[in-house]
Amino acid sequence: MMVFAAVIGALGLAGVLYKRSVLGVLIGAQVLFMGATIALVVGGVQAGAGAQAHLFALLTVCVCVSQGLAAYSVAARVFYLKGRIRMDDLRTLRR
Amino acid sequence: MIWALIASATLTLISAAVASFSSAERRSITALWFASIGVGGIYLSLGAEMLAIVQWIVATLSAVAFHFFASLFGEERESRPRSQLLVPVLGGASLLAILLIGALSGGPESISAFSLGPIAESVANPPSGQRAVDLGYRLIGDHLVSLEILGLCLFISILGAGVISRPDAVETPEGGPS
Repeated sequence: MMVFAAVIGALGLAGVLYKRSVLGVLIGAQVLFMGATIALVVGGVQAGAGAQAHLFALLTVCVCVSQGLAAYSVAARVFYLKGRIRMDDLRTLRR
Repeated sequence: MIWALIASATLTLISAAVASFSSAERRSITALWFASIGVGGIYLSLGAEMLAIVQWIVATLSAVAFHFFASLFGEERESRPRSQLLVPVLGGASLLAILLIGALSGGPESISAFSLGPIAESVANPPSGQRAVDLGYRLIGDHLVSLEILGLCLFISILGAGVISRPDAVETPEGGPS
């Protein structure tokens, strides 16, 4: 199952590198976080510390939400400035 | 119930691959939602009911927010030539290799990373002490500082989101912002 978590994380990183749009990169990052939380939970089960692992996975999910919120606001700012959202436009948040 | 775990893992794997490499954003969003549902199924099979429910709630809200995102800011199709697939595939393979080397470098015990034995045992006999009330007591007892830092991070994220995404003040001829 740890290998499965690693594969999910690798798919997420590949998605981040493959996509050009902000939303695509955000989706790849979500998949990457997904792999990390699976690794935490599975590692906790294998080590016999399930409850601790569940708590840290819960915190990781919350951090993932926070990251999505930050990316969403940056995307809104870039759209306000440029009228479109591409990863290539993420050079500056000023006019 | 090991079949439920395997079915959830299969759903997650296929959906994550579609979400990462699909050229249509809405299809990616839907695949991400299915992947998250599969992850919740994995958690449920492993006896982490609260985490599974949180995962499903977050996945559904994220999917709705991403669909709004695609509607508001316009959907863009990824049209990359196949030659540009090399870097993403190499990046993903490198991460996979690093994680596998890290998992294998722990000596003979690391073989458990590749076996379903402890997982199958946990699925057959879910360990006690993982109920939501126990997790809640642990969260506000042993990990109170982590919880506070997390709350602070979320609060700062919300404030930062508001600051970053606000429109610029326009300078008036008198010199003050309007």
